[in-house]
Amino acid sequence: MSQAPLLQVEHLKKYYSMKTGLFSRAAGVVKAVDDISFQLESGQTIGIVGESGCGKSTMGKTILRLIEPTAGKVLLDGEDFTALQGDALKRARRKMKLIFQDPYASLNPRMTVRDIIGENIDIDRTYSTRQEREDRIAEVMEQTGLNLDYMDRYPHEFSGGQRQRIGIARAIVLPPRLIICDEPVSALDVSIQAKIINLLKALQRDMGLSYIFISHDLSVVKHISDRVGVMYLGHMMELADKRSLYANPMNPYTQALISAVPKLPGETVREKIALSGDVPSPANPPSGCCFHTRCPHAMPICAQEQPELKQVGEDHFCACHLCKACAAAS
Amino acid sequence: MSKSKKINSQSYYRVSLAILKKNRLAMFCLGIVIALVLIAVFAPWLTPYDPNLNDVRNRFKGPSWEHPFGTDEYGRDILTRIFYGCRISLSVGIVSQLLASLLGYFIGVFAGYYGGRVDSVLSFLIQVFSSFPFLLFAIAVMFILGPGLMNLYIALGLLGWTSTARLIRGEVMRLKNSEYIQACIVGGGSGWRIIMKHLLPNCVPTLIITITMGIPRAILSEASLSFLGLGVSPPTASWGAMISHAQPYIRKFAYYSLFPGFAIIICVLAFNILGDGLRDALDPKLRS
Amino acid sequence: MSDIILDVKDLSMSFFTDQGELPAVNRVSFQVEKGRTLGIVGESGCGKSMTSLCVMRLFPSPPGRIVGGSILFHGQDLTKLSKKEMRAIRGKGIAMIFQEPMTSLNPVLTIGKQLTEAIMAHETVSKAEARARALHMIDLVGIPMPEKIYASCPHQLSGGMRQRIMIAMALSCKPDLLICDEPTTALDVTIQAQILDLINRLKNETGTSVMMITHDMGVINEMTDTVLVMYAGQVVEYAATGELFSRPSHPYTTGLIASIPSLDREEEELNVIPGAVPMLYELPEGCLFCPRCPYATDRCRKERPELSEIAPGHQVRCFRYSSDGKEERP
Repeated sequence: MSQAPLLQVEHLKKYYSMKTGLFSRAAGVVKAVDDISFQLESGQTIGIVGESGCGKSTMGKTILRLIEPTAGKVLLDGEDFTALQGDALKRARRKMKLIFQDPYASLNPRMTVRDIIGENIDIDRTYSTRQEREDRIAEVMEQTGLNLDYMDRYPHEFSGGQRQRIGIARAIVLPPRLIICDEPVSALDVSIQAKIINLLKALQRDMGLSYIFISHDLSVVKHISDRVGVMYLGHMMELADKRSLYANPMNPYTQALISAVPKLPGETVREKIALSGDVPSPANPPSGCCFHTRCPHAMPICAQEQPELKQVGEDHFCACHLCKACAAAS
Repeated sequence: MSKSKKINSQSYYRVSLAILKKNRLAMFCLGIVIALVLIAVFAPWLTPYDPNLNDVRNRFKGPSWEHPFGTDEYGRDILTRIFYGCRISLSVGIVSQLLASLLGYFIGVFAGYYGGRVDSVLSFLIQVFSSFPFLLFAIAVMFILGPGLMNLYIALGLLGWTSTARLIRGEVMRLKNSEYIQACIVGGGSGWRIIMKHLLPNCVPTLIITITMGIPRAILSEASLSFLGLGVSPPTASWGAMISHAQPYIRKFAYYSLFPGFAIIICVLAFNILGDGLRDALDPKLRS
Repeated sequence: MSDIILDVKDLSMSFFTDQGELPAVNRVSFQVEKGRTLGIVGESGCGKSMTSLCVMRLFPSPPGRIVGGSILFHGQDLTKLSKKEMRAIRGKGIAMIFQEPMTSLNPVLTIGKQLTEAIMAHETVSKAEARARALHMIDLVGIPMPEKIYASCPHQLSGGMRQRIMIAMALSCKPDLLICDEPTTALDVTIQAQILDLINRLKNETGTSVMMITHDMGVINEMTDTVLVMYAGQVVEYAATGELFSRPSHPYTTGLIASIPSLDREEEELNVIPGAVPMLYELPEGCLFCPRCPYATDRCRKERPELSEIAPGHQVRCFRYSSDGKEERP
């Protein structure tokens, strides 16, 4: 506990004001990310799971300041990233990179692979000679399993898996400390997905990278993460060490989520917890606990008071009124 | 063993060219356009006559071997004047559209990329400009600036940018949230880099199409302005001016107005069909 | 009870393009029994969707053309029907739901209008009867307040709701066979569980047979009775679902199952199948899987294996299993 963690996210919030009508009066706020806090140690992976619209992607982009946060802090290596401007921001940006879901939309169709991967080098003017730049590009292409003969090809000539490798090569060409992976394997077939996940793990080992791995696929997140956070309507519902979370989910939402995954033979089949209804609209979230409208165990207090994220075990945090351990802890 | 197919690296434009090549009509029109450009460039070498030299003895000679398209009221060879008029028409079309596209690109990019207040102001400007009646406004501008080739470029260039700006603005609004631009921002890339490295190359197809489609419009406007005496100043040959001068003689010497008229139609049609072909070839949405 | 309602024999469909004849569906045979579910699983481009579109005769034509085989639906060969006769089968005899429910619904018509039209297109019923039937169907797919949904437009509904409406529409004329093409791929896990549950419930209530096309082995395990594993247009394994998972026999099937991260087990590295799915214009000469197969022999590289039965009802396309069903290890 001597060193500060690589990344500390503190009470991060992103609210969008909704405007309606001709004269643009604010009609309400959408709390896309509401009071999210967590830490990430160097070389570790935190997985973020949740269904569409839960704010997991927005959170990732807010940490990177692709979207400016409404409130809260992001500390990177102890430095307040949210307060940086100008050159200091540009320097700090070198430590964080992003990998996207859609391997088709994330590469500029008019640039060759060489220029796509080399762009960050060009922006930072890292190398003084062209040869150094080319050597570095070749090096990361080898590292990510891309054929060097394809350096001058355009993205549309590659398959989905190869495009994702190009995106990864672009992210690591100037070695970052942290990569935010926004659903990096969701668009890929299972056998290709496995290759990309193995590549990400190998890079983590070799380069000491940290990942924030955002996905809706619980088994993929379990495989790659050390800790996992479960999000619902902008809130962190549960955050724990992955073994603890998957073996002993405390929050009814996490329980339902895990039980809903279609299982393969040989996997422990928990009784299916059928959730009724849809995810409520983030523009009009339920009062109190945001999950109470679908929760099989909802109590009167759930509709009134929003539960806080409390420690319920060793590295296990949960936000729920029901959970006994929560009550004991408070 | 198995016949493995080697796929050569295919840039977007090479694929587009392959698609365009399959479109016979568009390729034919491309041929016409190239021929017109050659005529414009090599006009003095293609004809023995001086386009502006009066030869009163040869007034209103009908088409003959000596003068294939006949002569006009000053005895000038009409074919020669059409060749020289081609210079005016093509240069007006191309220069004014390049000017308009450049203006339209930057206004569209700034409006689309920066959004917010910049967008509001620029969009309003686009709306104001596009609500002017085009020809009347061109007449007014030419009236103020006075006739002349340079002023034609400026007048038509200043008026033609609104459609480009609007298209580019929409394109940029779509592109600016794309993930490769986010990746560039995360890498610390500046706004200028994004505009020049990411947005411009992706807008080039749109620009090529708007320029190609805009050229015939500019040519028609030039013809109209010259017809009204507000285009190039006499005796410079221009297709519109020729039709204008031929007007009093239209009953007796129909060929005088017909030939420049055909020239306009062929030129405009060629550019329009080529533009359609280019759009089919360049638009990724129309590709299978 | 084993009446076979759909009997596909040696079905072949090819695309005729600049690159020559591309065999998208290559001599596929399978049977669907009444009230049972057949699963087709494979990665993108394996021909699973094209197979189902062949049954519906909805594949893009040109360039696609059925070049051989037969599709017997209640003994009637669908490949020989005229367009008009085929239209009568679609909807009434065989119905289909797709991955993206938004594009399958007309955005400008109300749900009620679309449902009643679907009913009245196939049956001579009065408007009032069609309306009553439509409301009953909306109720049947588990949507509360059918009257309200009846009057709303597609964009007012969530993805899960739309997929329910698609199912209501598909089942409104009581088809004998329901083809589901990746019905839950675009949906969240908890909604996916609801929809799968609904399909199962309706199947049991109406006795409809189901063809489930998916890339998700978990869905296959939980939903189907028999499975067809497809690779590059061919069936590589065909077995009862339990048999397939307890004894996966084709190297592709085993590789595919092993590359899925597990919710229970912990593994450091995911199994990967080397190489990539071949393009249809560069299919290998021998066994289509041999360039990626760990067991490939010279024979595999020269000859294409046929399906052989290794146990009753369990067919595998691999030379490792001789025709008498014994496994031959190299």
